[in-house]
Amino acid sequence: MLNRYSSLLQFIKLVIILFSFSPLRILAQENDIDLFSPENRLNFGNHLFCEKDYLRAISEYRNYLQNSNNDTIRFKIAFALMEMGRYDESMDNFKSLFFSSELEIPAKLSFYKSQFLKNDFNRFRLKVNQQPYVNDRILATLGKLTQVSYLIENTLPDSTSFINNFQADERDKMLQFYLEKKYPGYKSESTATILSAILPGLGKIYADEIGDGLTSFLLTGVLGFLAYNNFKNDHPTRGWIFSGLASYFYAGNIYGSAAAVQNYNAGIKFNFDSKLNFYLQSREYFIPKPDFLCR
Amino acid sequence: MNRLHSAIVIGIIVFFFVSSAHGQTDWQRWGKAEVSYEIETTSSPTVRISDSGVSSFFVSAFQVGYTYLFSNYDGDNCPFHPTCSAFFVQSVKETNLLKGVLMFADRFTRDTNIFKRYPYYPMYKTGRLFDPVHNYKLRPKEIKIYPRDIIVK
Amino acid sequence: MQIIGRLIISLIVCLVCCAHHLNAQDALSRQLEHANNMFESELYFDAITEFKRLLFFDKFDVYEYDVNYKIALSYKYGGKFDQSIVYFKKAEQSSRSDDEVYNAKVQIIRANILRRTTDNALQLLEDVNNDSRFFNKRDEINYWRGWAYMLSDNWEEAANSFSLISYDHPLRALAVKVDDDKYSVTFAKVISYILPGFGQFYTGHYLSGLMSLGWNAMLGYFTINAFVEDRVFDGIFIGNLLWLRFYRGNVQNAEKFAEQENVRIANQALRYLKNNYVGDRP
Repeated sequence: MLNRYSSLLQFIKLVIILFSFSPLRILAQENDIDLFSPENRLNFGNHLFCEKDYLRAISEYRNYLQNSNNDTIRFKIAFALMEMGRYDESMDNFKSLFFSSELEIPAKLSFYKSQFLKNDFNRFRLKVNQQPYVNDRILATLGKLTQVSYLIENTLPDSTSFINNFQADERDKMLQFYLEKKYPGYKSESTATILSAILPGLGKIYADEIGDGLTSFLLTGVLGFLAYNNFKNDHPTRGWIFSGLASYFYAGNIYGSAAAVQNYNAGIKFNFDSKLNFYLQSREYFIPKPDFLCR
Repeated sequence: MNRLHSAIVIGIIVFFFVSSAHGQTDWQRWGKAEVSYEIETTSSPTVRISDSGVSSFFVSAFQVGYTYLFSNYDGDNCPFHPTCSAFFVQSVKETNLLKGVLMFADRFTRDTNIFKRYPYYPMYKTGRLFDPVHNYKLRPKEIKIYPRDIIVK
Repeated sequence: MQIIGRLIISLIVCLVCCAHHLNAQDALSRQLEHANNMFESELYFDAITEFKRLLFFDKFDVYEYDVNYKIALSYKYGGKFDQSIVYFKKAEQSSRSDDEVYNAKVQIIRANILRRTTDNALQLLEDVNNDSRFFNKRDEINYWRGWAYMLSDNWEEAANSFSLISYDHPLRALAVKVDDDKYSVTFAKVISYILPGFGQFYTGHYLSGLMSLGWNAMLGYFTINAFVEDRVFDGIFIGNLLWLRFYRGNVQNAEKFAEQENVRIANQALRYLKNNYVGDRP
């Protein structure tokens, strides 16, 4: 009897062991998971975040936060919103990390970065100066961004106070930007207007539109000559028509010269802004990136 | 040389913008989309005489006359977007008659200058050169510069 | 008795283990079903989320091909062809048989046809055509080649491609008809060079033809008249700046009308293909 039971037990053991170590069993254990458990939502969310699939990542994170409290994930939600250009939402989310978190400093810096990226620099400076959230640890970085905001706008501070805000390795480049902004090489609309009034097309040549300038000169010149020629040959009607056309293009050329100078100046500003923007992006807006962001 | 340098920098910036745009497909929810097999046509919109005010009556009457009597048979001489007559009408609408008339003369001069074409203007999606009204209204804040190596949509 | 007891116990043990295994398998297959349901309900954005979730937890890449393929289809139905091609390529890389490789490749080609990157589509079709694994797929390859040509408005080549499948292929008949119906742009231009306005007549735009003829006759008269009256400068001015401009304009006008009419004819056929054609479409 005892022998029978022991052989039965041995058989059961064998069956269990066999099943336990079968590849199917291993596969089954691996797959026996709740894909929607908070932990798995978090893992999946992190994967999506690293793929920059931010909208889906945020949705997973928000589900995860329903049951857990995790400041890093809150930060990542705010960061994802900022990356997607939803700055107001991102600022509100960064704010939730201001008071009771180890992430206070990066959250505050990113909050101000969001404000900066909104391109509303008056409001940005106002928020920095009112100092509701500013402390010594972020002041240096905010000082840099404030100076950059002056560079983007047209209100340059004194060069010493400007450059003092930057670290040694940034100073050369920033000084170069400062000088380029201060002495942009803009051209004068009134000069162009006067030049065009004296000689049609000259204002456009001054505004670096040489081809347009020569065309203006030829067009007005030919029409003027036709008017003169027709008057001379006793064709007063045609003479008056060509006079009218010549005067019309003469006036249009003066107007166009002023417009050409404005476009020239806008081009200089556009180039400057593009270069500055590229530099800021390459320097991450002077804000050190938290190491938990996979980038 | 300086211009070349700027062009390179802007080219790099545009490249970065384009490459980062790749991951942005799903930054907004989207749904099913109907895909048309048809060839896109870029026929110009029908012009009509407007009866909302004296100034717009004259301007639109000019445009209708110019289009039906002249422009259609004058060949495809205007390489720009908006076309010359549309530029004139839009100029008058956005400024006033006098300024619009002057802007048209200036545009006509640019049109006549056959040496300044692509790549000195950005390209519009229809393949024409992009030369928008808002850059010539003498309002610096409205001027918008477009990189030359992009297609404006 | 002893044997029956052993049998019963081993059966129970087997059942417990298998049930456990089946249950575990369910987590991923249930997810596949869940994602597929969304896909079938045309909720493509959410379907992609769920397919991606399945991919992420599918440690043994059991579903890799099918899921990447479905993600790609979702993007395709959302009109996001670039992304769609990225995922079809992933599917191709994780394919387990020649059939799967072929299906993924053909989908990439179809997405390229819809994206109007016809050169890519044709190149890929050529590659598949030269691949010995797909020797028996020639008809299908020619079929998609025909579609690539149709959607890029090259009806003559489309007709040639379909005729390689069968001379009686319905799409061959359609492509031939469109090609026959179209106006010759070259003829419209040439006839306008010879007789201003006649290119417009050819495409049925009689009023425009008359206007063009009128402008050219009038300006031609003015030019010649100026030379006859020895007003050489006026003659050069009117001839060069006005008559030549309208003469060239007349040719361009005729060309534009012919092209417009051709687009109209092509679009009529393309609308039919989109809405009424019963058969595989890109």
